[in-house]
Amino acid sequence: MTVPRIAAVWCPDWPVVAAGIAPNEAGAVLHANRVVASSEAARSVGVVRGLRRREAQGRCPELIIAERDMALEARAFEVVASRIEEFTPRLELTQPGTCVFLTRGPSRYFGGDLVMSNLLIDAIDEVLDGRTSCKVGIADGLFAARVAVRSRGAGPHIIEPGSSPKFLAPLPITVLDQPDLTAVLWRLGLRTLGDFSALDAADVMGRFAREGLLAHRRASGLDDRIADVMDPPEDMGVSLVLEPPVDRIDQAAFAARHLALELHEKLQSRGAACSRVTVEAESEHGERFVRGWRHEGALSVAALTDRVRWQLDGWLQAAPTVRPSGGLVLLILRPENLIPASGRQLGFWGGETEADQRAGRAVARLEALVGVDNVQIAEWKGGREPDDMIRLLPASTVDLHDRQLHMFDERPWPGKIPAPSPVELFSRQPVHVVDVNGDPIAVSGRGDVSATPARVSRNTRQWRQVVAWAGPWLLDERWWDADRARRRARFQLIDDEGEAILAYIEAGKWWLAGTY
Amino acid sequence: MGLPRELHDQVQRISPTVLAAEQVLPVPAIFHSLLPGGGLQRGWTTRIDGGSTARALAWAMLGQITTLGGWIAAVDVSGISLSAAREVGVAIERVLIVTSPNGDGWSATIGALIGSVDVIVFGSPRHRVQPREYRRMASRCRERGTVLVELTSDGDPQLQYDVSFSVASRQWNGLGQGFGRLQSRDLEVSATGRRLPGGVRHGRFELPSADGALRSLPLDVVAPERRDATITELNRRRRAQG
Repeated sequence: MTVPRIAAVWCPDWPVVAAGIAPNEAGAVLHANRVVASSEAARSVGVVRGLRRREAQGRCPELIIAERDMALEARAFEVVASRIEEFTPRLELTQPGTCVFLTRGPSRYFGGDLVMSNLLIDAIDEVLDGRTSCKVGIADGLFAARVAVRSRGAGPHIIEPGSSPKFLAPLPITVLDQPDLTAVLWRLGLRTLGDFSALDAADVMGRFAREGLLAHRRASGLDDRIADVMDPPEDMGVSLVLEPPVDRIDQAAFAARHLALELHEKLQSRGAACSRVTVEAESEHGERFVRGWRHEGALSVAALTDRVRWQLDGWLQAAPTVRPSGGLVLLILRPENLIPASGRQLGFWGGETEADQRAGRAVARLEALVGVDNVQIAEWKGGREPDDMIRLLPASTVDLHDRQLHMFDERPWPGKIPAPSPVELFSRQPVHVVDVNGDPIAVSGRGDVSATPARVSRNTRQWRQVVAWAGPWLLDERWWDADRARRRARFQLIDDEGEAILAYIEAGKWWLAGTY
Repeated sequence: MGLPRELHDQVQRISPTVLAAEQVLPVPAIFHSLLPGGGLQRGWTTRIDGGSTARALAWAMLGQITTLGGWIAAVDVSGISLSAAREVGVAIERVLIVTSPNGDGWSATIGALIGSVDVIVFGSPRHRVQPREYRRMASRCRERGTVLVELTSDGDPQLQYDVSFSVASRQWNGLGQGFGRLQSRDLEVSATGRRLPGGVRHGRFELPSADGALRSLPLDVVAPERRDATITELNRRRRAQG
């Protein structure tokens, strides 16, 4: 079996470019408070991926910060993608900023890999207009091409036909970008891709299952396609006729989600998942826009929806010459590269389970019933007050199968009242705490309590005796942010019914925070 | 009332069977004294009485289900505090928080969750739910293996529950007159119901505890009838106070 020759095109720091940060400015793009991309100038002063916002600002106070917006990145990349499409009709986008295509046709037409690459770089540089450079790497096999494009140095990186394994062998094993797997391999003493590929494929399969075999094939410079990749039968595509035509992106996104779900269910009924999908859109005047999307693993519903949305967003908001002249009337998703769905079995390192899938389907059903914002899922965030520690997100925006969990983040929050937390929380619920004379308890700016709390009531009619209390614990946070600033003195009280509460004074008024 | 006897037997015979191993949702070992089967039987309808204290018991009991990969849906649990849930071992990433629409969407919301999640925890519905609707819900749960947990602070039982728990906090430790902080609570739980042989069962737990671990405390020597009266009386007094 011959390994197809593949070209990878990569625009470095694409999130930064899309955010409109010039190359000589120090800028960074953040997601979930972590730097995901930074400009050349920012990197030179030490702002690298993975830093927290504060750390990044500490290293570079004048840093321009933008929040990550994948839709914007995809839209901005559309210009580049349509330029590349002049070279090849079969373009596959992996994520905004990166795409791959088969070079056989284009190289032969333009007169060789090197000539074609140089032409391509010139064409893209013209579009990019100095905002960033673009890199091209050509090699046998997808993985080798993607490694080649990330090699240092200017100019296209072309790995001669047949020498991909030789090129990959000396590279460190971490290039595989599968941290769970490479951590194990590292401990086994395999430090380079060459070490790993020297193992017998059957042994790797036996120990690490499909995922390991895939990595082994990549390390050996072979094609990603394993024998169990099936070509989908004709009827596997799903389509949706949009009536009336859709020209707003939010409507298109809604249709995209619907269609993604349908495709997912259809694939699932065959026990399959797909790692590559072609998205086709047609406007009411017959204009067509086709694009292929590829994903490392299997495309989940959320990932699929995102990609359709990015593509439509890019098209609907493109330059007037490219934009469709009417609304969208037809949307088609065609799966390619079917792989067996990992489905029921828990993976070697955990992963999606049947229970997760059932919950995911329940979310989809419930959304229709109660509305998107009324089905939520929690994310641990940490904070000083019980209502701060958890962030609730609409469940539809969370990919239940492929979540980044930050639950091990147990760093301390100075000023937090130690566990246990209240079991019921209240917001803006007044409470009254008075001393033996019936005067409200007050706290001075220095944290002195005016008297000993004697009685407590939620409605000023029924009073309960305070049998134990402690506080005040002062909290003065985010004083620089007028909307989110909090300055309060917190107390714990137990009344004669045995009920324990958490209450606080803010601006001279008592509020109930929670009951224990 | 109810199905004729022959029809009932017929329903029992043809209803789908479930493997024994899959029938029990495990709870932490300290609760085994309350639940002889080692957990909550799939399809049970249960109720925990005791206001917000009921939640402390609910999260402690259900935590293990989530860490083993199960899902919980919390429907209309006002002021839900997932940080407290997390402290007693709930994997909060597998908890769906659902708010049902006003009006009569409540039953449909619960209905959509039955069979999709392992446990549904719900607060008292905001509007009156017909007893018939309740019964239908309970029988669907039995069929699909979802456990219902009703958190309540007011008396009227809506259903014939398989198990009802009643909790009362006896004493908080750690807080003094102007010093200390809340650290642990001595919580008394009684369980009763048609699925529990041998009448009322009692347990005493340190919940929450100072270090987050779940611990049971020795039952003291007061006669069961006497202690029962205390819990009921405490709950009645709390309700009277609103």
